[in-house]
Amino acid sequence: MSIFIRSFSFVLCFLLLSHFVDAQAPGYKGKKVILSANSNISYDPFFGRYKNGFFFKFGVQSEFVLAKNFSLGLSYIQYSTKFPDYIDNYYSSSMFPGLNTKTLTSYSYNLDIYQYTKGSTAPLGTFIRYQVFYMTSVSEDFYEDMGPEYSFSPIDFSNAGVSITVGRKRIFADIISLSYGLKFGYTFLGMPFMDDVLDESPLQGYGRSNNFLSMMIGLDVSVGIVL
Amino acid sequence: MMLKNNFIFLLTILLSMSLMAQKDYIPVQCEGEIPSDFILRTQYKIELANQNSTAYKSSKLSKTANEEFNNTTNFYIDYLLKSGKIIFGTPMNDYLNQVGALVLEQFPEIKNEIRFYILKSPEVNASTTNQGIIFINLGLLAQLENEAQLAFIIAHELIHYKYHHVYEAYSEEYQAKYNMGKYQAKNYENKFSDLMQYSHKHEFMADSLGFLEAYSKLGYNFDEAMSVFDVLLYSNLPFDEIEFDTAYFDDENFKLNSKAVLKTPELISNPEDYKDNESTHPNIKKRRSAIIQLVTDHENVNKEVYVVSRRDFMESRKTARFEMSNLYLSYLQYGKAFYNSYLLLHTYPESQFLYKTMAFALYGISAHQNHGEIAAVLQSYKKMQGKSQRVFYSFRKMDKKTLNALAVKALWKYNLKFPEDQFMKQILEKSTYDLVSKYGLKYENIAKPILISANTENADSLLAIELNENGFRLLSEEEYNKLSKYDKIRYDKKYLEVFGDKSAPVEVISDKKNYLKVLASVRNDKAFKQFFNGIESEVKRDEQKTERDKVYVTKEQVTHFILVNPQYYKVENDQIIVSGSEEKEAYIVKDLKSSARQLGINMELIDILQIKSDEVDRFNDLAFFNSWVSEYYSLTDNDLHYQIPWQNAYMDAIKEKYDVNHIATMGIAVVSMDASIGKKFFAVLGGVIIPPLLPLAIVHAVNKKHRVLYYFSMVDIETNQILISSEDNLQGNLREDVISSLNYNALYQLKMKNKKR
Repeated sequence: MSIFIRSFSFVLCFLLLSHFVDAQAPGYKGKKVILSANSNISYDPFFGRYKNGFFFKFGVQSEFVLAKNFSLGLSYIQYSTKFPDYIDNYYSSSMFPGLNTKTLTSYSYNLDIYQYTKGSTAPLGTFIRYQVFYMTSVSEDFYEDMGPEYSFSPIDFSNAGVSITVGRKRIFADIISLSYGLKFGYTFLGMPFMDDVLDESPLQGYGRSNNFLSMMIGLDVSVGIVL
Repeated sequence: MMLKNNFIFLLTILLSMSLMAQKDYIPVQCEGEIPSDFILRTQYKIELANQNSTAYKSSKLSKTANEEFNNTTNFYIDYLLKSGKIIFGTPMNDYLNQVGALVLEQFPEIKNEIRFYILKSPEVNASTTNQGIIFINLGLLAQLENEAQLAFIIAHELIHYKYHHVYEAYSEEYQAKYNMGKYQAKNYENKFSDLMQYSHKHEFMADSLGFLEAYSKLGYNFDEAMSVFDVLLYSNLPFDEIEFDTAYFDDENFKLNSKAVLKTPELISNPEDYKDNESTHPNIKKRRSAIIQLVTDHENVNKEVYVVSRRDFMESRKTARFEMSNLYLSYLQYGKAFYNSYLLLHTYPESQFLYKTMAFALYGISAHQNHGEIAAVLQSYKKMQGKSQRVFYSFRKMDKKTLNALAVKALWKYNLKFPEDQFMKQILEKSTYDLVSKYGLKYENIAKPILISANTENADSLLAIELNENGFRLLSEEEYNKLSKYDKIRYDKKYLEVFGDKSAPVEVISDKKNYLKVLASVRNDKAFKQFFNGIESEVKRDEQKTERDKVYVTKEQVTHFILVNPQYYKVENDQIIVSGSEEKEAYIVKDLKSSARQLGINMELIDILQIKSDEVDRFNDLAFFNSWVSEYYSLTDNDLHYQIPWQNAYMDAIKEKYDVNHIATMGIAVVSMDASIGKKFFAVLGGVIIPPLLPLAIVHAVNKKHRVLYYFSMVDIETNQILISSEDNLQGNLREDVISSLNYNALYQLKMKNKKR
């Protein structure tokens, strides 16, 4: 929860700062800020059995219009995935999904650059969002037989990455914004090599693979308010 | 005949006097109650037409095709009616209605369905719509010789209506387009040829039945049914053939360089039997031949040329001819405007309007020539024949400096004669500014005047009355000028046959600094010196300004503007969609008004959808604004936005009435197309390959592809500068949020400009 509050405060500070910029941009009828709740659904072709084939993510995002076709934003998104409590043989454990599973949660902090297409005017219309993100992943305590000691302990690691979203934004009743698009991403240090999974650090490899796959291609939907 | 000529002469003098008694000619405006044709919604008209399409029951076309016809024709006719280019309620209309009513007595079955209007177009033409509207162009009225010819043309048009020629032509085109009936397995050329033949059949029918069913029973002279073809044959020429004397430009100090003087204009040689296989109308020879038999087969009992009123005909034609100068200037056809006014000046030598239009035309030609754009306002003299060719030749061959100096001289003289005309004073300043700034002309460089004794040789004595050995009687200039345009053409041909080209040798003048002499005759005028020096100082001041100083910023904060005739069009698969468009337009305008209010700007709307039947003044304002906007943007298209539009001459009254300095126009078009089969296939294929995208892929394949084209433009009419020009071209449908965004963005530019001040 503290991470969520930290990131949200960061977003608010950014917005406040941006507000003092005398942007030569009309925005949407003079409104230049959008705060929204964001969700993302992506497909997992490899480890789908654990999560019915899909990754579900949710978060918050902000966007501030700086020019007619350009805006900047900060966003935060998180998702969780399950893994078996006891892993010594990943494949045998995965035969029993849902049995003694633990949660691995990833938190992503994103800087968003929105480029709206020629005919559109930010924050309305078709856009391409370039995103740079930093992800940290933390697991629940679990029993890892490959560790130095046989003990219950959490694992945490981080990833960085980039993504591009091609989407469209609509505004209803001059206040509600709806954004939808396709997101394509790439996470560094997170290639889904099966060797990683079979190696001695199965959970870390599994987590990174999950991050990579979850970012690879997904449907992005946001609902927010225009201020 | 002699008596008739004398009578015409007297009448001309009387008309001329009555014109002089008026303050001056004012461009024609509609009067009285606005007819329902202009007020009713297009959608309503289409629905009515769809319900009442009993006339097409025997048609080969489907119900959808008939509805498409009603949709398209009503849309385009309403576009014309609501543009302000149609005149109603004027004395000209009253006269047209009277002649129309006379002809309609022969058509009792359609009598109550017909309306006559005048179309502000210089083209010599008349047209009929399937809705019962007959348009008579001003260009035609200006060229007709008498009422009988007008009656014949009306009879011709009424036959088109009575026998549903418009619908039948559409039906034929439809069948050709979709390879139906006899058009199956025909190539494009054959289809086109068949359609033209079909159209020729209608024209022959309208000529002959118009004569038989109506004209022959009205008491008019049958010869006029034949002579109307002369009007059509020579419709490319001005309404009269009067020699243009280039001495118009000359005075005791200046003569045009010889290279700018055409020795002999090309003889008019319009052949009657021109190729007509690509024309909707058969050639004149065929039409004349088709009707000549009918004329000779019928006894011409009454040989009247006027049944309703000769006086009203003359008055209407005079108005039409004056209006032509106004129209030509509005359409940037300055050469034609100049010669049209020149022709009228022979009959109305005291008309301020004619001097004004000629001086303005000179300014317009000079301004365009200064920027290398003369072709946009002056037809090539090589494509012309007859006496007007000399005008176009001189303007083309004159050097830029001379042309500019001549414009200044004409404007100076006009201002001396009519000093109260502030608009023309502004034009004089502009033209002189160009002369000084572009060509560096200084007052001290203007040639000093030389005084020579006035040559009082009477021009009327140039052509003596004599009979040569071939029996050809030479006419005096006065006699010649009294001939009709068509008799002049015949006389000129005969003259050339008998005497050959015996034009007087032209004195050869070739002086590269000739332009310095143009203003010599006004040089010693103290007021001119003062004026010219004032302009020189202004040019110097402006030259010292930096580029930054010259950047245009509106003089005052924009708090109020007029939005003129907003447009909204929806096109689906190349078919215009009227249904719901008027409501959408109303919504767009309402939203724009709301955005304006949000930005602290007051918007006033002048739109046909808001005008009531008793608001003819507002309708005239709309017509004026539309015409002004059209002229203004024609100028800006040629990158001549610094040239003052002609119709600014009438802007002051409007500015005062609405207390406004800014005029805006806007338009939105939504173009929708079905996705092609290939695109649909690849969309679905993509969805199959990446399952999560399948719903999107299906939506993509099924939905139409939309494109929204938007423009908004605002002009500062005080400075003639474009204040806002916003154009957007975006994919997607025109939803409410998109409308709001586009409207707000357009006006936001204004806020930024206000801020910069």
